[in-house]
Amino acid sequence: MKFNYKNIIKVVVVLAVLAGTGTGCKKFLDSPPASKLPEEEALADEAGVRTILTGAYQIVGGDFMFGGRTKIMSELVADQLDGTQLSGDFGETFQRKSSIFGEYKRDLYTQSYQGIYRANTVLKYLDKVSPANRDNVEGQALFIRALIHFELVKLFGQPYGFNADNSQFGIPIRLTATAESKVRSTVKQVYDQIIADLKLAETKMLDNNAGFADKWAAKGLLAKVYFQMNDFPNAYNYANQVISTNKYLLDATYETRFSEGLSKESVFQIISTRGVYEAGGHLRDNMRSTFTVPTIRFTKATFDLVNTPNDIRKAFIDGVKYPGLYALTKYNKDRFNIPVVYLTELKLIRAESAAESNTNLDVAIKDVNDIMNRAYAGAKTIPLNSSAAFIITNARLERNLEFIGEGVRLSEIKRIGARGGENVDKRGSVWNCPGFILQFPQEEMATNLNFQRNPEGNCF
Amino acid sequence: MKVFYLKKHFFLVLLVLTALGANAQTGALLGKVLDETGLPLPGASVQIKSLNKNTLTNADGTYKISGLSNGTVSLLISYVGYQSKQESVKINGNTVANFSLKPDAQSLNEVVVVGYGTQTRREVTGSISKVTGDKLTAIPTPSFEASLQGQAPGVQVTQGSGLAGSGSIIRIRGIGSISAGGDPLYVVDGIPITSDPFIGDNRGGMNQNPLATINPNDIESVEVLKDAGAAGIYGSRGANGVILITTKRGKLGKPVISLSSKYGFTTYANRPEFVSGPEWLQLRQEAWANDGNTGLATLPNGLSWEVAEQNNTDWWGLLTKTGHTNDQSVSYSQGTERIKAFVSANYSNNESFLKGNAYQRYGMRTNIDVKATSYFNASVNVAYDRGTNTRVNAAWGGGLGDAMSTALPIYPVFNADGTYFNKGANPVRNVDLLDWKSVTDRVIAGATLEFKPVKDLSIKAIANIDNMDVEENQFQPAALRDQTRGYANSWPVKIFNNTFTGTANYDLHLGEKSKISFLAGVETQLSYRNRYPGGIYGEADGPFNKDLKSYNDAVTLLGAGTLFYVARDEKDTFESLFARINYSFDNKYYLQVLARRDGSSKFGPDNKYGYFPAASASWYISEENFLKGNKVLSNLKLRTSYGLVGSSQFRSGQYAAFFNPGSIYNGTNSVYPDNIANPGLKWEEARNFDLGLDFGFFNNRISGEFAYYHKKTTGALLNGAISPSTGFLTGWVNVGTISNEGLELSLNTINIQSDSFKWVTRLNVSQNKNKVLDLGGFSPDAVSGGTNDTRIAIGYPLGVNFLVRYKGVDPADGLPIWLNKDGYETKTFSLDDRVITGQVLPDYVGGLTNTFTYKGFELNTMFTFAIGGNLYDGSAKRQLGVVTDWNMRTDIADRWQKPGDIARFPRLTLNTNTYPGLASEWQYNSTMFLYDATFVRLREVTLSYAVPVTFANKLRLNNLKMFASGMNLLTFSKYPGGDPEIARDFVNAQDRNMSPNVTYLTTPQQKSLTFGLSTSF
Repeated sequence: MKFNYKNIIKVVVVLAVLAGTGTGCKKFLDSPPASKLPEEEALADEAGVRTILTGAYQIVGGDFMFGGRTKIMSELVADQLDGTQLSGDFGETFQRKSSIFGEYKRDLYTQSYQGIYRANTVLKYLDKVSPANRDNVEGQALFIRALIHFELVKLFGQPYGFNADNSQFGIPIRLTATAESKVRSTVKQVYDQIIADLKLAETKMLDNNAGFADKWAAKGLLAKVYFQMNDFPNAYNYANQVISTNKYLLDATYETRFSEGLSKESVFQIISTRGVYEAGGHLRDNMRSTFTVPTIRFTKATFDLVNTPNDIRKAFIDGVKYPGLYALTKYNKDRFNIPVVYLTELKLIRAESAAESNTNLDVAIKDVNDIMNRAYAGAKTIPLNSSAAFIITNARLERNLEFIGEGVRLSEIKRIGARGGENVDKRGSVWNCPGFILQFPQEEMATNLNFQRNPEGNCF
Repeated sequence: MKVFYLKKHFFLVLLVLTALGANAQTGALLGKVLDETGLPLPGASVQIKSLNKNTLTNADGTYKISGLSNGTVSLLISYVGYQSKQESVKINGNTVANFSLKPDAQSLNEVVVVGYGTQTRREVTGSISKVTGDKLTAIPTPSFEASLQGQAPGVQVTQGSGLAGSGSIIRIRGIGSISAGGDPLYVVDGIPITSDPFIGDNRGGMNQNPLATINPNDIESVEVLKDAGAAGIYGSRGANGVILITTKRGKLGKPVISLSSKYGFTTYANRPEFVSGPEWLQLRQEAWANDGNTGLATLPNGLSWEVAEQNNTDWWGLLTKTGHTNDQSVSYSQGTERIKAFVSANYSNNESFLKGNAYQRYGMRTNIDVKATSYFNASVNVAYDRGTNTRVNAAWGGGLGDAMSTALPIYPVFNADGTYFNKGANPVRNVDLLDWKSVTDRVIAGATLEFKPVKDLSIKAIANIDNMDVEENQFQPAALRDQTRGYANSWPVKIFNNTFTGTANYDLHLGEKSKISFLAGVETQLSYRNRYPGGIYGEADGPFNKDLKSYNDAVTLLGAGTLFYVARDEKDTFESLFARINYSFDNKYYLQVLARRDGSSKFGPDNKYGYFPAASASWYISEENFLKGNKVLSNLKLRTSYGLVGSSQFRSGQYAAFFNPGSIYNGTNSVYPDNIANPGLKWEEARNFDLGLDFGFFNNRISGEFAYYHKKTTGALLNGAISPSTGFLTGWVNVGTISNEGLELSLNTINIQSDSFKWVTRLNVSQNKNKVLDLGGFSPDAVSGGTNDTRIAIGYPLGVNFLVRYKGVDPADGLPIWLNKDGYETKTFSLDDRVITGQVLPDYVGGLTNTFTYKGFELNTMFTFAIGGNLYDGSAKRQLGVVTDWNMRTDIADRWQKPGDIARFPRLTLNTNTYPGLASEWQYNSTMFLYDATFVRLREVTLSYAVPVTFANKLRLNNLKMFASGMNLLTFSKYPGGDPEIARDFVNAQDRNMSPNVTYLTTPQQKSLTFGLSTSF
């Protein structure tokens, strides 16, 4: 064996120097994660700001909100489910005794606020957006922020109208993307903020935004918000504005409501794209009944509501496949878009609001009959001279049937309760009992001793 | 280059002198030095002190000292790791003298691997426990680190579970981390390796343990560095201790081929017992009637009584089997003065007792050392291993976890039409249909060039890599998904980790008695991952590695939208400067001072570099005149150390706000925020004090070590404590202060020693007192484990049980009685009444080993134990609580059924409202399910027989050994729910720190019986 020692020495020296490089060299240690972008870089330009806006839409459409938990949580607390065999977080929520623990609720809460964080991040970097597009981007961020605050305040705070001045605690209002702890605002403050955001948004948003929220989405949501507040003139006004555009058409059948883009009704919907963003996975996991018994099942009474002669909607619930159990069929597809603001609901809002104000009853009757004609294939309508009270009764009934399993019923129980003290809950609770709202996750209390918890239980 | 000329001259002169000397004398001494088994010991030293003559044995163990005059000389024969021998030999012309040496575990000349070098046991001033490789291969643990259990004081090893390839939780001298990893740093032949069990995320209730790829047969020794004096050289990564793994190297001597072959059987060590189908129905009916209902109880998922009564499925039985283990290894070792080589190959297949679960490993290693010249050495190590983990779901993921929970005995496996039952949990269907494998290819390799330009100066340049390629493929056929087509997931990840180190070592001799050694070094490390953060997923007709068309479709679909492949993800850079000075005087006094400066890309801009100094000293009291020659006391050494070490096991990129690329929505790219920024983020800092006494009595027949330590960690990282209405649940902050204080004792005694019989006992016990001193103002609930089972409270050890106290059952109505916060009885359950009721950390852990040797027979038994602490049974709240769609344990027999019953468990109910104040089954956390965690287990019992060397030689073998070994054959514990050795499924680092001793459907440990044979020739 023959070694060239000089070369070896060189190698040693080079290696030693190599090993020593980097030492004292700041660059080597300045090594941000490759898959991630620092905030300033990620949001350096308009395209960047739009990506975080898209991120906010994904929260709204994701499993923690309209793709799942927001709806399921509402259904659990409401009165149409058969929850006798639910256990764990589902059982606790169904029993209307939500506690400080439970990841299901905690993650719904945190992730919903994550959507607000993203919307607020968009607003923080608005100056990066070109003036031509700035209003549109700002409007969408405000829309999303309002939408999420609205969904959360309905779940975590007693309804608007609980107190005359609505001074009951609502939820923390988040208007900036920051990390400090915040206490709860009153329900009035929350609704004021939602309306302020939406009213600003509707002036800034586009007439048509290619699948993203546009001004009609904001107006439609305003109709829903005012309706929830039992503010009927405003609810009518906004619902009417949207319906009057004639951009949206009632679907002829129920097949298309949850479909891959076949619905003509949606004012704002979550769009599913095959293999890329398939919304509603959590709904399918818990409510789909195609292959197996779903976890979330309905009561016979709910089935009986739709199981009347001529009602096409009886197909919403399958009472045969799993004997003794009533399973929803609305989500029995591999993929679908999820309507958030859509014509059926706006028509029912307009009808009931008109009747409540006792004006435009002809419009109201037509709205109710449009819904009924589809539901009963012409076999049932209300008379053209129906009274306001009769319209209200029928609008409420149709609402009850149309939206089975869509997370609407809980708001209805509370709204009607707040309107005049009426208790419509089929499970016999008083509309404003403590257990009708969710407890805050313990992490809020653990990080802020002044955070006000909700009282628990006492609904039965 | 003058130095070299001088050196050459020096050798020449020496040569001439030797030659001259040889001519003047006549006699010579020659012979062999053998080990206790009769094998040659190459490189052993043979000295005639009086004549200042010495030599080393050759490859075949022979030596020769020439030029001796006739007469009697005194010889000293010594070899590292063996007891030296002093003998007188009468020289008469050419005289033959053979010697055999006995191994000596307590030898002060034993080589101990320390960071960036080696020292003799005598020179060590820090606290280091050494475990030799043979101790790691005695039992078929899922991964080598589990074999450290009971072997070293201050090292607590909790094996994760009996799943194939499962990792363990190792805590060295307690735990000083909350949310950041509390694991030691693993260093293989100088390479800080990737040991993170979450590299591929946590799926299916079992961790992926990268350490399982390491072939235990290749390990020469494991050194555990415990205090600042030892681990301090690893600076910001030393606070949790360091585990140095040294692989075998070629030994001087003729080529030797060693073979080892093992076969075995595995089953579970302990199991919880569940009720049968009819019993379950009876419990359900009782609860139904208790709730005031009439008729037959409703059954889960609409199952009819008719169907239910036909079934009595033993899910546990259907999911388990007797597993087979198979471990074959072969190695080749040879060495000349110039080149030494060790080459090995290994195959092992460890089937766990779970059907469909196995860890298979192929591995090979080549370690070569070349001594090119007197001033230049090189060594190259290359190890390649392929570990194939055939996986099943476990714990919360399903599988055996289902058998312990939602797979009810009233459910059938198949419907009447032969299809799989799917109206409820069916883990058999899952095990049968799910195809899930993860294959890890790992290369650990390094090259060292050593250059000695002048005497006593050594410069080393070392380059190392530790690269891993993990291919994880999972396929769910359509039939399993209840969908029209199957679905495949793939989570490929490639991990790159390279280190460059340069060190310079210089020994300065100051007179005869004192020596100073200097070490200075620089090191840079870069590690990153190339991966698909969300994995690759999509519909398929087979696993992606087989169904390439579907794979391509999925890649096209996913790749169309988003940045879904990331090169250099989780990049982490490290650069360090370090130095160590050792001073020794007169073989009595040793002093060591070291310091390290670490910079890391993980640290925030406000804290880019950390400085970690440490000092340690030892004093051989037994070498002092007043003790020298003492007949009782043969060795007494006092050592102490104090220093600063750090720990930095947290994800990179947490110091600033980062955004991740998200998927496409409605044709638009998205990003999402990853974290909340903390520009001051830094390492956790521990101040370690250590005081130890090594002792030996009666010529080391009784020997051992006693140590006291105190470790105070400040800036312990907490990932949490952020108001969730920010949109984030967690953020990293350096807030906690934790102290660990403990005592360690190891005691080795040779109880009986005669020519043919020997009985040796080794005992080690450690006590650790852990206390959280400060939490920066957060409440206990702010740092709950991800799984919500334990808490942290100031003044208490990390991971306390924070539970409502259960008083018992009211005999009148069968309802539970609780104690409120103030200790008064109440029948209303409230989470506000939770108090600190226990701790998950044990008070004492240790091991007791007895080895009996009679001629060629050896019986080795090892008991390991953990004393004190509490075990929380997180699944019992469902298995023994409200009757739901979970299976129930047989302990439920002790329940209230009618007024007047005195029972352990309350009346059965189907409704959480029956127990006032209870929100859900999950909140039923109380001391009802808290147990004493003390356990003792017979970890190992091995009976071996080594055939006599003479007989082996006739077979042309050097040696031949047969053995039978049992693992976990006996377990003693008060816990009725299965295996008491538990680490809840490793969901994240915080969980590993806070929830050992919390069980949740945890797979029990393996019990195994192994038969084997080893030989070399």
